[in-house]
Amino acid sequence: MNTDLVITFGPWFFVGASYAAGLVLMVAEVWKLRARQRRALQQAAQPLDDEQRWDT
Amino acid sequence: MNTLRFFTFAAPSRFYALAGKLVPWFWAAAALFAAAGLYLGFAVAPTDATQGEVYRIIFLHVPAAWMSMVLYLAMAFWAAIGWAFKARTATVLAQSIAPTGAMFTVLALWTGALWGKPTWGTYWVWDARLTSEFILLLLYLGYMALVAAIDDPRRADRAGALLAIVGAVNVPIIYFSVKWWNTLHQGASVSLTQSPKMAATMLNAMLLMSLACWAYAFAVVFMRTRSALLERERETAWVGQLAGRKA
Repeated sequence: MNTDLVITFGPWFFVGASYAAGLVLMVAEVWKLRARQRRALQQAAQPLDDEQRWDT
Repeated sequence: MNTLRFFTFAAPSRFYALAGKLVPWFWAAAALFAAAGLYLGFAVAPTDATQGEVYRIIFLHVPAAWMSMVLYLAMAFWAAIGWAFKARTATVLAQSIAPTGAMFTVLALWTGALWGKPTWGTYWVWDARLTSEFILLLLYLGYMALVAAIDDPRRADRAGALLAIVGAVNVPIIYFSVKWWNTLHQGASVSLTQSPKMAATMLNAMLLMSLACWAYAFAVVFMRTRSALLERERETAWVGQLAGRKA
């Protein structure tokens, strides 16, 4: 079955699957980081409650 | 004077500003190096005489594998600095390196499996190089899980630093595994002490892609560090000022 995959799709299938995975992983990582930065700034803009203010 | 300047950027507020200025430059460098590396690797480098087209996976596989090891050492280094000097920024930096290191490890294992099938005839074997690289992934995941599992940030920092430092012993094992044991994985094609065993075009493409991965890693690690600093220092005045918090 796996050998068929090699014969059917040829080397470019494996090359494509490698680089596609790299692209997906990197885009997903950056996407998540941008969302995290937005969320962190929004949370930081919220007023502190009494306990947090005491800590500072 | 230089020492003083170095420690100046250990302050979270200053590091946040500096990293924010550097990130666009790292993105530009990553894009330029990746474009040049992919052009050389796919348009200029010839088909390999024995492996055919599938060898082009190495332009991503080798840089990803290098990054997985280098980032682990960087993570352990900054975790140790953070532990020894109680430096918050260093600890946050170490914790921000871990997900990117894990991502490169997954990529190295995935691309290695896809290269292995057409060339070795198998996606995976439990040889020393592959197994020790897999253990590296478990170390990254273990480090992230451990830090996330402990509520007290200072205790989490210390426990994480200990695991990161102890786990660093795995990196030389990965590197030297192909020399110490008889593995299916081939030996190093690039060495600081020997001339490379591949054509100059192929080597240049691989080095350019490595530079692209380095620049990418700096960019995303600094982005994550900035977010983590905002979250961790939320109650401080500098974050309040930055986010425009009302009293």
